[in-house]
Amino acid sequence: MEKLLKVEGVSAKVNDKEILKGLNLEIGKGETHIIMGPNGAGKSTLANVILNNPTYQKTSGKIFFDGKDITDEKVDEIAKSGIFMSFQTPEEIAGVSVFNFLRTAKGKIDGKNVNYFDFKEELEKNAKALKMKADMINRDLNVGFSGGEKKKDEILQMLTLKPKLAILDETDSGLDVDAIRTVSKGIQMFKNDENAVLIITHSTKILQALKVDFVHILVDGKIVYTGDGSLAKEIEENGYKRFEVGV
Amino acid sequence: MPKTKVEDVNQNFYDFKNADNFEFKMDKGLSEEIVREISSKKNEPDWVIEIRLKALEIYQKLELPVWGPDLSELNMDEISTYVKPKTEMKEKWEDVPEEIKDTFDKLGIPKAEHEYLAGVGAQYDSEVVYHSIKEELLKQGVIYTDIDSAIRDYPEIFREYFTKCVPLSEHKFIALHYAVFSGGSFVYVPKGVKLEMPLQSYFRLNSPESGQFEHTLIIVDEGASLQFIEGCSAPKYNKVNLHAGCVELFVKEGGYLRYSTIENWSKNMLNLNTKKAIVEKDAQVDWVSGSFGSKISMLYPMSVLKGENAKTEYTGISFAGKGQNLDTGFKVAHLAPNTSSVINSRSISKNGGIATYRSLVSILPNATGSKCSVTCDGLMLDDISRSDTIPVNNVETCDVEFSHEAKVGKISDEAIFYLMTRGLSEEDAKAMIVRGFANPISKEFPIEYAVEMNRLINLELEGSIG
Amino acid sequence: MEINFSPILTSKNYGINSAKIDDNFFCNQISTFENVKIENGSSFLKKNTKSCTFSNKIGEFLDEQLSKNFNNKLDFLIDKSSEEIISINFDLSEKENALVSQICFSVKENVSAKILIYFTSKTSSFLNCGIKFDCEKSAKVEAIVVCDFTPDCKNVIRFDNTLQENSHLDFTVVDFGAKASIENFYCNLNGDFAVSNLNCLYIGERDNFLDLNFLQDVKGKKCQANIETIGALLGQARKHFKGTINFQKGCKKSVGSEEEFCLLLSKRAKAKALPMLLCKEEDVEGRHSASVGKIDEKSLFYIMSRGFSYQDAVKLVVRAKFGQILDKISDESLKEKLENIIDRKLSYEEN
Repeated sequence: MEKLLKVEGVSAKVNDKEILKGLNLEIGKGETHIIMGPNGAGKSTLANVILNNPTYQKTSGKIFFDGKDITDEKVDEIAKSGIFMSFQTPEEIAGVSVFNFLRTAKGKIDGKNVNYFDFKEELEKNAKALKMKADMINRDLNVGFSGGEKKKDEILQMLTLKPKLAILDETDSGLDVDAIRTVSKGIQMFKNDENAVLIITHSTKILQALKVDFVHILVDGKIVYTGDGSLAKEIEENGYKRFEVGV
Repeated sequence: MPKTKVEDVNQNFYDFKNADNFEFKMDKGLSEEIVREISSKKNEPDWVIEIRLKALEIYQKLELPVWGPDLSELNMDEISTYVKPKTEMKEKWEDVPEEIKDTFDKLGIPKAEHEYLAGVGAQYDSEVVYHSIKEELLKQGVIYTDIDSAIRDYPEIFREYFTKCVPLSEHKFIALHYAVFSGGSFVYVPKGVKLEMPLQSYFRLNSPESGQFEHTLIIVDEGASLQFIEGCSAPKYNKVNLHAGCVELFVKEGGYLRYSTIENWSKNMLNLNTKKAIVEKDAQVDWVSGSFGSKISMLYPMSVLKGENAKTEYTGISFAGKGQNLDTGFKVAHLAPNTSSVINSRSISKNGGIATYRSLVSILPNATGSKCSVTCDGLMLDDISRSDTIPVNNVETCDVEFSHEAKVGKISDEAIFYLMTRGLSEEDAKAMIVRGFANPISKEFPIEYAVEMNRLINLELEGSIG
Repeated sequence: MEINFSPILTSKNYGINSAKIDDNFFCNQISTFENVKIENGSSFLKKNTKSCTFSNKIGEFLDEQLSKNFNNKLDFLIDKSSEEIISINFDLSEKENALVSQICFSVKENVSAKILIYFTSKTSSFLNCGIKFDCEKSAKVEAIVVCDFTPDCKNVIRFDNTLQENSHLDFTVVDFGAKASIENFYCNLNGDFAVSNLNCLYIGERDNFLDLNFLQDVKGKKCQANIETIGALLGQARKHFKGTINFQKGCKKSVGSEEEFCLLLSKRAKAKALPMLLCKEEDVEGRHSASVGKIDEKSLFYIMSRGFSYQDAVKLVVRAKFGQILDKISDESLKEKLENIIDRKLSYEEN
C-alpha cells in the first residue's frame, strides 16, 4: 500500500549549519510513530522541513505525501493537503480570536464555507473535552495563554482541522501530569485507521495510553534505529548512549 | 519568502461623483469680500461677521508650519471656500433632493439612523442638508442642530462657548476655518441626561476644488453622557480639496463624551482638522479615531484636563497607503490634580505611505498625582514606506506616573509560518495579522462601524474574521 | 539664539525643537589653554594636524568657533590595542576659563581602545568641544566622557562618530549639569554589524539647564544602536532630551532601542523628552520607552523602616537606578569618584 508520508534522504540546514543529514522516514495510514533523540539532533527541524518552513533550507532529498511530491510546496498548500504540525512554542497572534482563526483555517483546509452553528458546537465540545476554560475560544490566539493552555490549544486545532497526518512537536514538554493526560486523550480522540500521528518527544509519559507502532531514534541528523513501542521505555531508562556510540 | 501585497484601502466604494450641481459656488480664493459674502448669505448677526474678519486678519499674518508634511501644494486661490447645495436643511429624508439623498443612501446613513442612531446630521459640501433627532430626546431638552440654526435659535449659549475652546489664533488653518466656517453640528445635552444611542454627523464633500469648513460644538452638561460619531468621505478629483474643520467639546463636571471618527476622505484631500475638548472635574472624554483617507492629514485631537480627576482616553489607528502622508496623534494637557490619560495609537504604512505619530503630553505643576500612559505601535508592510514616531513629553511636577512605550517593525516571519501551517496563504496570514493589529482600535467602534472599518482594511480575507 | 535643533522638527509650541539661549551667552574671548594632562596616550598623539570638521551642527557661532578659533587640539591615531585607559584631563581654572577643543580619534582596523575624557571646572567657565571617533573595521572602543562643572558653567560638547563594518562603540557620557549643558551626539553606523551603545547619566540641580540631543543613524545591515539615558533633576533644573534612532533604508535586520528615565526629585524641576523613532526600512526592530516619576513611596518607606533617614533612602534608590549605567564602567576608582559626586549633589540642602 502507498505510504502516507515518505521522507527520502532529506538534508537540511539552518543559518548555514547542517542539521539533517540524509534522513529517511515512512509513515503509513493508521500508524502512530514516535521520534526520540537527544537535544540538537534535528527532531524539530524535521517537523519544520516537512512543512517547508522557509527558515530551513533543504539541500537534498524529497518528501512525498499522499503520493504527491511536496518537497517545494508552499506551507499552506502542505497544510491543505492534510499535514498538521503542533508547535513547541505557538505564536501569539493579537487581535484574532481562537474561534475566528479556526473557523477561517477550517474554511481554507476544507475549501468550503463553514456553518457557524455546527462549527461552534463542535469547537466547544472539543474544548470541553480538553478541559479548556469556556472563554478560551473567544480570547486572542495564544495571547497570554499559559504553557499548558497553548499546548491544549494546539490539540484543539488538530481536532478541528482533522488532518491526515498530525506532527506533534514536543507537545508534552513542560506540562503537568493532568495536562499530559488531557493531551493524550486528545490524541486518542483524533486517531483512527485513516490518519496517522508522528510524535516528537523526550518522555514516554504521553505514550502510556497510546498504541505506538514505531519508535525512531534520531541522532545527529539521521534516524539511527527503529524499533517498536518497547524501545521508548528503554530510552527513558538508559538514554541515548547506546545509539550515539553507534554513530 | 516572496513579497506579498496587502491591498490598499479600497476607496472605490466612496468614489462616486454627483454632478457639481449647486445653488451657489463661491469664486475661488480668499478675501474680505468673500468672507462678507458667506456671512451675508447666512444672514449672520454682526458679532459673527466680526469673528470672521478678525480670523481672516490672523490667517493672513500667520506662517505655514515649518514642521510636518509639506503643504506647499495648497493654494487658496484655487479653492472655493463655500458651495451651497440646491436645498435647504430638511428634517425628513423624503424632502432631501433625490441626487443628494441617493448619496447618503449609498453611504448607508438613513438605514443606520433607522437602526441604531439617536439622531443624524448630514452635510453636503458647505451646508447641512438634513438634521433630525428622536422625539423623546427633544423632550428631555437635548439640542442637536446645525450651526446656522444654533446661531439663530440659541444665540446665548452658542455665543458663550463658540471659540472658547479653540481660539482663533491657535494656528493658521484654524484662523482660516473661523474666517469661512459653514455647516457642522451643535449639540447640547442637559444636566443628567444620558443618551443610550449615538448621534452621528456625516460630512460629504462632492464639489471639486472646494473646501469644507464645518464647525462642531458640543456641550455635555453636568452628569450627562453622549456618544457622537462623525464620518467623512469624498469622491476623488485630480486637484486638491481642503478640509479644515473644527471641533470644540465641553464636558462639564461628571459628564461623559465619546467622540468617534471614521475619516475616509479621498486621496486628493488635505485634511487639516482641529479638535479639542475641555474636560471638567470628574468628567471624561474618550476619542476613537480611524484615519484611512486623504492625501495629507495633520490631525492631533487634544484633551485639556482642566478639573480634578478628569480623564481621557485616545484610541487611534491610521493606515497610510500609496501617496498618503498621515501625520496624526494626540495632545493632552494635565492641568489639575489626579487627572489621567491613556493613549493607544497604531499605524500601518505600506506601498510608499508615510505614517507619523506626533504627540504632546504635558503635565503641568498643578497636576499632582496624575497619571499618563502611552503606547504606540507602527507596522511597516514593505521597505518603501515610512513610519515615524515623534512624541513630546513635558513633565513639570514630580508627583506623577508617566510612561511611554513605542515599537516599530514588520510582521514576524514566524507568525506568518504558524498561520500558513493552518492552511492560510501568505497573503491571508499577513492580512489576518494586520486585522488583529487593528482590532484593539476597531473594537472601540460600535459594531456597525467596526464592520465598516474592516471593509476599509479591505484585505480580501475570505473568512469572517471580525 | 536657537541652537541644538532636533533632527526632525515638531510643533514650535512644544518648545523642544531647539535650546533657546541669549545671544551673548557664550564666550568669545578665547585665550590660550595649557592645563591638559594625558596619560597612556602620548605615543598615539599626532603632531601638526589640520583642523577637523564635525558633521553635527549645533549653531553657527559655536560651529565656527570650534572650527576656526580653537585653543586646544588633540589628534590620536590608535593603531595598537591596549588595555590601559588613555586618559585626558582638562582642568578649567580662573586663569584658563575658556576651552575650545577638537579631540579626534582614528581607531584602526581590529584595534581596541579605552578612553576617558574628564572635564573639571571649579570656577565659572566656558567649554566648546568636539570629540570625534572614526572606527575602522572591527575596531572596538570604550569611551567615557565626564563633565564635572560648577553650576555657573556653560558647556557645549558634540560627539561625531563613524563606525565601519563590525566596529563597536560603547560610549558613556556623565553630565553633572551646568548653567547650560548642551550635548549633541551623532553616530553614523555605516558598516554592517556595527554596534553603537550610548549611555548617558545626568544630574541637574539649582537652575541647571541640560539639552541632550542624541542621534543614532543606522545605515548598515544587522546593526545595533541603543540609547539609554538615566537622570535626576533637583532644584529648578530643566532638562530637554531629544533621542532619535533613524533606521535608514537598507539597514535590514538592524535593531535599535531607546530608553529614557528621569527622576524628578523636586517639585520645581521640569523634564521634557522627545524620543523619536524614524523608520524607512521594514525589516528592523525599533522600540523606545520613556518614564518620568518620583521615587516609589513604598520602597522609600521600606528602606526608612530599616533605619535610613529620608535623604539617605533617596540616595540609595537613586544610586541603585544610576547603577544601571555606572556598572558599565570598569574602572573602579573612576566609578567611586563619580558615586561620590552623585552623593554630594543629592545631599545639597538647597535642592
